[in-house]
Amino acid sequence: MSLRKFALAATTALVLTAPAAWAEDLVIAVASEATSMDPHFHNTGNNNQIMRHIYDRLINQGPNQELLPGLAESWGPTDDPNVWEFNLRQGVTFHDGTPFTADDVAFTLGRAGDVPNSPSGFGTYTADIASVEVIDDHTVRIHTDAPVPLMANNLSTISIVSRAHGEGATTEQYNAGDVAIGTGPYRQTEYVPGDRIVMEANPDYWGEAPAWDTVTVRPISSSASRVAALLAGDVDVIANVPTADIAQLEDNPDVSLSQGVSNRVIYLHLDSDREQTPMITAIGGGDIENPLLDQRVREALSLAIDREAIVEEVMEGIAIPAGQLLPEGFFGVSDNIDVPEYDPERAQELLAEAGYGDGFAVTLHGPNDRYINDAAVLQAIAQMFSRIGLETQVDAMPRSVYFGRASDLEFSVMLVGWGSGTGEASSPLRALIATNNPDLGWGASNRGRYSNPEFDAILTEALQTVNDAEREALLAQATEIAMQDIAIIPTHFQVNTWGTRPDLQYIPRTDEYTLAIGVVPAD
Amino acid sequence: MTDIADTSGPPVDPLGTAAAPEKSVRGQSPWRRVASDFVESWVAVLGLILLLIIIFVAVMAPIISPQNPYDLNQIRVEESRLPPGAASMTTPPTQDIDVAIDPTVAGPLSITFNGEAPFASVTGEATPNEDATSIAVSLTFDPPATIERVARVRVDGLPRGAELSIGEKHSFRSFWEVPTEGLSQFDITDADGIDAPFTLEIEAVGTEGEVLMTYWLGTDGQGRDMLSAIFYGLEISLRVGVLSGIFALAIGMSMGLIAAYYGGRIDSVIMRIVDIQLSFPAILVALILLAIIGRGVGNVILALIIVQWAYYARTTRSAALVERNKEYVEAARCLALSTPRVLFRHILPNCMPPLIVIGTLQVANAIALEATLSFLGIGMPLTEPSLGLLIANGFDFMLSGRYWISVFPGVALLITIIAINLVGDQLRDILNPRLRRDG
Repeated sequence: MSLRKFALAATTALVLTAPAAWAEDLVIAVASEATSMDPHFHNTGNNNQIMRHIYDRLINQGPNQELLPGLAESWGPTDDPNVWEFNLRQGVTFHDGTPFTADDVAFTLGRAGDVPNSPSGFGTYTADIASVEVIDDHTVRIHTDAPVPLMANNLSTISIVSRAHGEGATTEQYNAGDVAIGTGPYRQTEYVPGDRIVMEANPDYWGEAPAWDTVTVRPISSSASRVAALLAGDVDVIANVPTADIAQLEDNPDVSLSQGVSNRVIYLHLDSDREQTPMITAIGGGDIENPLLDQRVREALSLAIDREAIVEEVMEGIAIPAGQLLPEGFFGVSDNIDVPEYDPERAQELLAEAGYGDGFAVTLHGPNDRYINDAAVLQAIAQMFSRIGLETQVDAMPRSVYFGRASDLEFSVMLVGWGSGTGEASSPLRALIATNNPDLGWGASNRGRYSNPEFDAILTEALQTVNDAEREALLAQATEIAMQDIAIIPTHFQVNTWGTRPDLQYIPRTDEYTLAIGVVPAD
Repeated sequence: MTDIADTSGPPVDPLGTAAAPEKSVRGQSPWRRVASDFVESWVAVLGLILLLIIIFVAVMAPIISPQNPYDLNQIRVEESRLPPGAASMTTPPTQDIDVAIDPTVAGPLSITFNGEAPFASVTGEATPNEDATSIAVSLTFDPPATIERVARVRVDGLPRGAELSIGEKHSFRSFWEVPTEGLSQFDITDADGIDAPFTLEIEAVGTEGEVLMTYWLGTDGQGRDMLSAIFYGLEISLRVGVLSGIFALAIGMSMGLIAAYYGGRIDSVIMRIVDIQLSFPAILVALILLAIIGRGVGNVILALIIVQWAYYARTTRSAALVERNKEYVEAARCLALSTPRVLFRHILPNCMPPLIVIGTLQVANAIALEATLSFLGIGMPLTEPSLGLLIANGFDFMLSGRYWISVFPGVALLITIIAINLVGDQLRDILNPRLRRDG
């Protein structure tokens, strides 16, 4: 058996720099609250970051989404590439004192993708699993139909729950806290939707003892109020410090800022599938054929965007111009793709070549409460589109309305963001660019319905290639095809800023999560 | 106020149907009397002058504004958040200078660059050290790189891990921010050795730009001239306020008259509707309506009409109830005049004074309500900000000291509402007989 051992020592020093307990209460203010306390109900950052406190995963993700041992001490494919083996940690107990065993893993993997009414579940990550075999209390084998090199990445997103409590449990029971029993460093004690989530330290935690007595997470959606709460000392840590305030706060001795590049790309999705698209008309009204079908038009739109101006002006320097789906340094990023140069003249030429020299009228859609400065970015893009002769309007709306309508394909050009949950390129490629296929779980967020068989073939191959270097090359190649076709128009990568009390600092995470474990004393 | 006990004075006219005798001129029209009463308060006159100026600015906005803030082609995000008095400049000349460096070759460098300024030409040579861990680069610029000509230099394209001997690397981006003077001589070092050729991308931004206009009140987060935006915003505010006021007045007045004239069941039905409507806060009703029908000027006006008509209906009804039983109405009826004629030609004119007062104050209310709705993000479209939306947008910048984006539209809104209220208050004083100062 050729298990690739991951020694505990590989755990990065970063996480371990946290001191033992300094017995205090920590209050964190986040921009948006968790929609549920059911760890498998809704796969979204706001929920997942809470679940990381209460539950463990077989494999954890470090600040840069590197894989670290969690409830599994070691893992890897067996001699049969279709079978993965996980050796579980011994002596771990749930919050109710019962021991954690392989049976809980088997139960969790069955539940994670199968929660009723889930708006977006974890099915993408469990879909490849054909069966789960419990060898003994501390060994699990996962069988798949084809090699799944990303098995470890996939499982690093799934919170392990207890079978004793979770069997037949509903999302409501998790919200009430009755069955919210995990093995994580903190225990769920209070959940008041719209107001707070309170967790207390788990004294029996198997890993580094939790540093805080209690952790309270409060949603404060207004950026200004969040900053004010930090300045007033009401909260100790805030997520999403608004870019407008960063320069000012850097000089403020009462605040310490931590900044890190995120795995989230902000991009425009283009309806490149339908003959007619709802939000594009001829100038002055009148139906026209969907111009976005023409690759030259899509390229013109990409060249019309001054990404440097968006970063420097709208984001006040706190972002990175994007030409692909992940920032450099991530697995699967292509070295051959440059950020497209702003070139409005060339854009106009391309429009003219495509027969749209007089432009067309387009309404851009986007959320106004989801991404950093989202509505402002959208307006800036509208300005830039106007410069190449398009009659541009902007409609920004709350995310509660926006995403539903976007998924119903009501829009033509829409601003969206995507953070790679697995920390590598296959996540955005599969979700955003692969041909929409609900059965495979591909193209689930492909709201432009771009479809390219050549791309799909390379991605399929990549996802079954066990050799890391070969897989990385294939992912880069798939990315190049998508960017060449202008399947989507990436604009920038988010850079996140956390604010803390001056005696604390936050270890920035590429997944944008705000975790109590990342709050450490300032050096 | 007239001292009622002062019998030596002229007889008191409790209904105020005649002006004080010493000022009264036989045959003076009611409008002239209103005017002469109005100017008695200098505060009200000040309010009126302000209001006239605001109306003038609003109506003339497209002509007197330095910029059309709703034309996306005229605003430039590159000039966002400029402070009051800043100049709008043309884009400064920018040059991308590509320097191809081969760590194994010493000697002259192949340099390509585009753009005509700030530099006319660049030559240079590279001297790698023996084990290729460091490359000394010297560049000669014509004309020489100086602070007066070059505003900003960025160097990008270094091999990963390599360092420049000048300037400072950006905290999370790949480029180095370099002082202008250091550009002529620097080293590229990497302790692990530089093995592959690479292209150094130097971006030099010149300083020369032509002044196009001055942003007297600064610009907002999208580079919109605040002065123009406020002018246009005033126009939207007044349009929304006045149009919604006129339509609400027309509807409310008719309903009130009908209720008062017919009485009985019709009166009950109309007045109960009014009661129900008035029991909800106006902002709540408007919010729900706009959430359903969507944003836009027309929809905001519609929402405000629906919210406001009840006030006019109630006021008209109470005034009409008094008039309905007067002899002149009876006389009109005896002449067999048609009901609409009695209602609108006989009763209505005598109900006008309170309606004028309510109307003026309601316009101010409507403007404030529109600003509130826009502030909450459901009024005007993003690219056509009204005062409320401008204030909301600026709110994000308050903590960082960029007060002008929020404060100036706020002041404009404040002045508008105060001016209307001053005028309205004075109108109420002179049209309401009980408050009339006849002395």
